[in-house]
Amino acid sequence: MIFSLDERAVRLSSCYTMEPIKAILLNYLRGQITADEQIVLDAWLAASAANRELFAELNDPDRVALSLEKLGLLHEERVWERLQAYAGERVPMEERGRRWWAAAAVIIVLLGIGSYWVFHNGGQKQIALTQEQRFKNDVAPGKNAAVLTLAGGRQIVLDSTARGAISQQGNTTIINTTGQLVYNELQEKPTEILYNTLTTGRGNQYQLVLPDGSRVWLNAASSITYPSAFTGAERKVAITGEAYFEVASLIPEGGHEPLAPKGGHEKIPFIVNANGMEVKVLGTHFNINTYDDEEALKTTLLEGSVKVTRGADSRVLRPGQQAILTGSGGGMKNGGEAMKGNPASIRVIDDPDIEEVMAWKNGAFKFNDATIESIMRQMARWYDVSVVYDTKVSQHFIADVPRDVPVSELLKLLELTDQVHFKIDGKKITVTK
Amino acid sequence: MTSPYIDDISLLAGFQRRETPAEKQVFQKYFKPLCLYSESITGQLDASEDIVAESFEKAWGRRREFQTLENLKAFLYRIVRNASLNYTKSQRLHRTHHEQLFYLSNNESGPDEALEHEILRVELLHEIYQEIENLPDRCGQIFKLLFIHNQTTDQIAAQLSINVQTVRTQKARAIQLIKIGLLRKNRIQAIFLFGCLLEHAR
Repeated sequence: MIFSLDERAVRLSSCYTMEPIKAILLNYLRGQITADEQIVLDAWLAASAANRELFAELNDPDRVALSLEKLGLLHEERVWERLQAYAGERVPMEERGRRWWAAAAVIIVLLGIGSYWVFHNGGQKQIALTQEQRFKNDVAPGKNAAVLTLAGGRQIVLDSTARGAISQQGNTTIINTTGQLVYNELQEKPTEILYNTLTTGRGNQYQLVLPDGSRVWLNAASSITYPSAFTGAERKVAITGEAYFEVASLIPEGGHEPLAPKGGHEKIPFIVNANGMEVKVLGTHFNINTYDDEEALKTTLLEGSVKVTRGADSRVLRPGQQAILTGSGGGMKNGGEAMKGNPASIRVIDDPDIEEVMAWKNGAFKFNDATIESIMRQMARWYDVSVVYDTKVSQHFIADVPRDVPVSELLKLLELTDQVHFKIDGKKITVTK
Repeated sequence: MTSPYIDDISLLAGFQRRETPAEKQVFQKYFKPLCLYSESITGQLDASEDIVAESFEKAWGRRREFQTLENLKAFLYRIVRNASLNYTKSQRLHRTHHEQLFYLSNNESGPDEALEHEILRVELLHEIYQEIENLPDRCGQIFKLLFIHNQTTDQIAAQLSINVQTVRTQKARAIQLIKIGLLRKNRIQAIFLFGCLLEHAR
C-alpha cells in the first residue's frame, strides 16, 4: 500500500498532464480529500514554489472571489454567436489546403504574434535601410542531393545526374532515381554484410529505400549508416541529424528464407541508434530529430509503437506522443537546462505539434510558437547559411511556409511582424531589430 | 441537458465532423478559462474575449489537425498566450506586473511547464465557478450575488430585504465558510450556509 502511494507521488511529479492533481485539488477544496490523495497533494506542494503559490491562491477567498467575478462578467453566449457567424463563411479545410499548396510561390499564413501586432498597431516602424539595401543577395533553397559512402570508403555524389544502378554491394543492387536511393536485395542469401552511409550536407535532403523496403527521409545535415542487407534477428541502423522512418514489417520472401525467429510470425525488430539513444520498433512511422545544436533529442511517433531507450531509462510511445531527451547525451546545446532533477531522464509529451515535426518531410517549414533562434537553426541547415544576431528577439513566431522558396521569401514574411529584420550578405544572415 | 458525446474521443470526432453541438461543447469547455488566462496576461477582460474568439476561429479552421482533445486545448492556450502577449505589447502597457509576465513567458526555460501550470490554475477556478453555478437555486443566488456578480452590500441588502450591517457580517462569515469548505457538493452543507445567512438576517 505504502509502496503504491510512493510510486504514485513520484509519477505525479514527473507527470506532464495536470489532470490527476487537478482532481485532488478539487477534492481538497470540497473537503473530500482522502488520506491517499493528501499524500500526493503534500508531495505536489513540496515539489515547487509555484505549486505552493497556486495552493495559497485557492485558499484565499478574496482572490478566488476576484477570479469568479471575472468569469461571471464574460459574455459566453455572445461570443458563441459571433463564432457561429464566422463558421458560416469559412472555407472547408480540405479545399483551403489544396489551394494553399497549389500556390506554392505565394506567401502563406504567418504568425499569431506578429500579425496581431501589425494589424492592431497600425503604423509601421521606419526602417533605416530598405529591403533591397539590406538583402545584398538571395539564397536558393536546398535541393535533393547526398553523398553515398560505400563499404571500403568509396564515395558517390548523388544528384540528378547519377541515375540508375550505380553500384553493387554484396548481393544488393543500389539504384539512384530522382532524390531517392533504392537498395534491391537479390533472392540469394547475402554472402557478406557491407555497411554504407548516406550523408546529406546543409541545404540537401534525400530519400532512401532500405533492402527490407523500409523508407527513410533524410533531412539536411544528416546521415544514416546501414547494412546493404539485413540478416539476423535485428535490423540496426544509426543516424545523425534528422530522419523520418516508415519501417516495413519484415516478411520473409516466399517463405523460403525464414528471416523471422523460429515460431513464426514475430517481426524482426528495427533499431535506430542516435546520439546515445536507441529506438526500437516493429513496423511503424516515426521521426527522430537529433541535431547537435537543438535543445533536445526528439522522437515523435506517428503510427505503431516504438521503445525509446537511453542508458537504463526507457519509455514506450503511443502514436501521437513524443519522447524528449535533454542533457547528458553528447553534444546537446543546452544540455540539462530544461531538465531539473535527473538530467538523463526521458520525458514523454502527449501533444506535440505533429505537423510542425513533419513539416520538413512534407516540404515546408512550420513554426508553432517558435523562438527566432529555433527558426534560424532550421534555416541555417536548409539554406546552408550562417546566422549572426545583432539583437535579441524575445517574441515567438507562428508560421507555415513551403521550403522550396528562396530565403528572402521567408525573411520577408518574418519581417512583416515588424518584430525582427534581417540582412543578407553572401551566405550570412544577420538578425536585427 | 446531457451531451450526446460520452467522452473526449467522440467529442473530438463530432467537432471534426462540424456538428454544432460538439462545437458548442468544446467552446463551453474552454472559453471561460481561456479568457481568464488571457486576462492574467493583459489585465483586460474585455480584450480577452476578442483574443479568445480569434483563437477559436483558428482552431475551427484547423480542426482536422487535432489528434486528441488535449492537442486542441494546447493549441488554443498557445495561440491565446501569444495573442495576449502581443496585445499587451501593442497597448504599451507599462504596468509592472505585465512587464514581468511578458518577461517570464519569454525567458523561462520551460515555457510549456509554466503554461501547464497556468492552465491548471484557470481550469480549477473555472471548476469552482461551475460548481457554484450549479448550487441549489436560493443558495446559489446568494453566492453569486456575493462572489460572482460582486454586488455591493447595499444591493444585496435591498434585494434580499435585510439590513446592511447584517449583509456585511454575513459576507465576512461566508468568506470564512468558503475558506474551510468552499465547495461541499453535499447539499446539507449548502443549506447550512444558507441557514446561517438567514439566521443573521433576522
